[in-house]
Amino acid sequence: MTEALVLILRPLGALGFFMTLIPIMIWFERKGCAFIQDRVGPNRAFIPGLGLRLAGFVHNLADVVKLVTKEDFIPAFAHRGLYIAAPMLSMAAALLTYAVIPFADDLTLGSVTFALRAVDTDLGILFIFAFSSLAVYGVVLAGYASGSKYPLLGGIRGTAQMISYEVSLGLSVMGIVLIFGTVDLNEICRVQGQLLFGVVPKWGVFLQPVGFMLYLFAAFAETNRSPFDMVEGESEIVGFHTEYSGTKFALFFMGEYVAMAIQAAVIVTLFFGGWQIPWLPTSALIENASQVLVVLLGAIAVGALGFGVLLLRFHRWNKVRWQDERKREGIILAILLGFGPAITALLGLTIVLSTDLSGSVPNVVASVAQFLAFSVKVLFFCWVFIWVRWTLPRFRYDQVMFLGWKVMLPLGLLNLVVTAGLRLLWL
Amino acid sequence: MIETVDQSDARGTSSQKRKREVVYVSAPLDLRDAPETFHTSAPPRLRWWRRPLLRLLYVPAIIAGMGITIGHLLKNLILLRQPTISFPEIKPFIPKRFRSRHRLMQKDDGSVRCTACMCCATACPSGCIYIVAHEVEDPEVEKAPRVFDIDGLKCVYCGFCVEACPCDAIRMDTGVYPEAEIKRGNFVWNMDKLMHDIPDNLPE
Repeated sequence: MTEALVLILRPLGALGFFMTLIPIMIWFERKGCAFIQDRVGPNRAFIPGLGLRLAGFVHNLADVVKLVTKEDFIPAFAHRGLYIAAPMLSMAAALLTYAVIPFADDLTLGSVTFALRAVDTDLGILFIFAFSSLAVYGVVLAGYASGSKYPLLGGIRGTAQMISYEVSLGLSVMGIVLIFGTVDLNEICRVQGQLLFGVVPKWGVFLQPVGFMLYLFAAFAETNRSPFDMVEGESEIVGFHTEYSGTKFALFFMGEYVAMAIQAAVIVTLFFGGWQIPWLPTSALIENASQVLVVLLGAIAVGALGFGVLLLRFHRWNKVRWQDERKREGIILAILLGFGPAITALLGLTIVLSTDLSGSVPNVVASVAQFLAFSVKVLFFCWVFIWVRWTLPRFRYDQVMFLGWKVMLPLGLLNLVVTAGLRLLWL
Repeated sequence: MIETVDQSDARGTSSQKRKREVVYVSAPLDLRDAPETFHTSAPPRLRWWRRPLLRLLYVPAIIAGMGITIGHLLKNLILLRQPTISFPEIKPFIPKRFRSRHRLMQKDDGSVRCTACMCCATACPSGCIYIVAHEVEDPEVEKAPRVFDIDGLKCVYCGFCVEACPCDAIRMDTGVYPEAEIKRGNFVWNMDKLMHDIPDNLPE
């Protein structure tokens, strides 16, 4: 019974994590780009009656309503079956990849141990590559099935780019596989908890800096993000989903963000220790569970307090603008999201200090701490994707191909050979 | 090198810190002896991320650019000094002599000051003023407008009507400018709106 429950809950939890990241990332994208460009960003959409704006978060809701209620148009010359299948394929390929990403170390509850990832398999990197490459089909089929020349060109452009960068993507990870000697992502995370020269955590980025850079660039190209958004190029070149509207377009859009979130998770897992908290392996976390909990709650209290102060500042900044119920939103949100959690965390802190943790509670605490570390890292890399998009101009198509085949492929091969040589010498 | 750059002099005094004195030597007549490029000044020292080898990788320039963008983001997040005006709620500052929506002036008894002389309609370059005159009972008044419509969508806000008016009956000092409407017809302002739908405390 418990095992069946766990079997169902694990994929659902992982799916929930990545689906939750979509609105957060869209919000990051809009608000972040606005602040980078000295603008205010979206703050208009609000729920009438409640007066909730949530600093532009409600725009996501408005988007959903708009996209779902829009006419689901299929062009006359489109290939109906493929036209409908393409966005599904795109989204499914992006969503399947999350299955092997570990969120925390294996959790032991009583006598049962289970892995905290959707599917308990040691396929790891192979699984990710197998399914993330399927995203190409979404692009090429959408271009082909639209029955229009521009999407076809966009699809071909996208396919060529994605296939080119697939090579560098694979090559840059081979170094990591050579060093850690496994493709199992959880195992890779566990090895990264060791120390290099007794000081630095043995993260992939320190062992494989070149591999990391290559992987990062290839991941940008693979997810069709700027500066490699040849596929879409919303401002100048016509992309593969020109003929799509409504929910089908939403699927492409969400597929892009899910792919981004998953690439961020893979980067974190391979190069930044995954769920590892630096200098604190799982056993240490479990042994010092109460101290960990104290630090965690303290950090939450300080963070929530800072967030509340920030919200209040935003509130004072916005106060003069709204003459309706929205003007109180800032204070209420500051209390609900900032000061309330801070006080709760402090109360929890006093309880933790006065009690001893026993049973499987330390294990849960360790898992939660690792999950939080993982989330913070993933969120940071999601932000890097957005940050780069609003910093760099788009590459020209021949530059993209030049970079892919003449710079990154040789560098990846060189990196692989050097890594293999060093590995032979020092093992 | 053909020309010599004397850098020891240039670094001498603080006021002349950035100036470089260049001694020009005329180019040799025999071009076979000429160097490949002529520099009019010393080649600028490239900053580290612009040096050829590093530039090849794009990476240093990318990092420098990302520093700039995150700087803007943090500045805006902490200081909250974006110049954006939240428009419908907060009106931008309107100067006193801004040519805004017209108003028709009134006499002391509240009737319209306009005498329907058609000067404004004649002067109007976009033909947005439509006047129908009629007789009034007051023997001292020759005629007055029965209809005075201004089409706000045609108007170019040039102010020629105000200049043309011989009796100061039309002014453009309300500070109101048209906002969104549902129908085009709503932009045609009739005499009643032009006389009465205006802000208070305007000069007589």
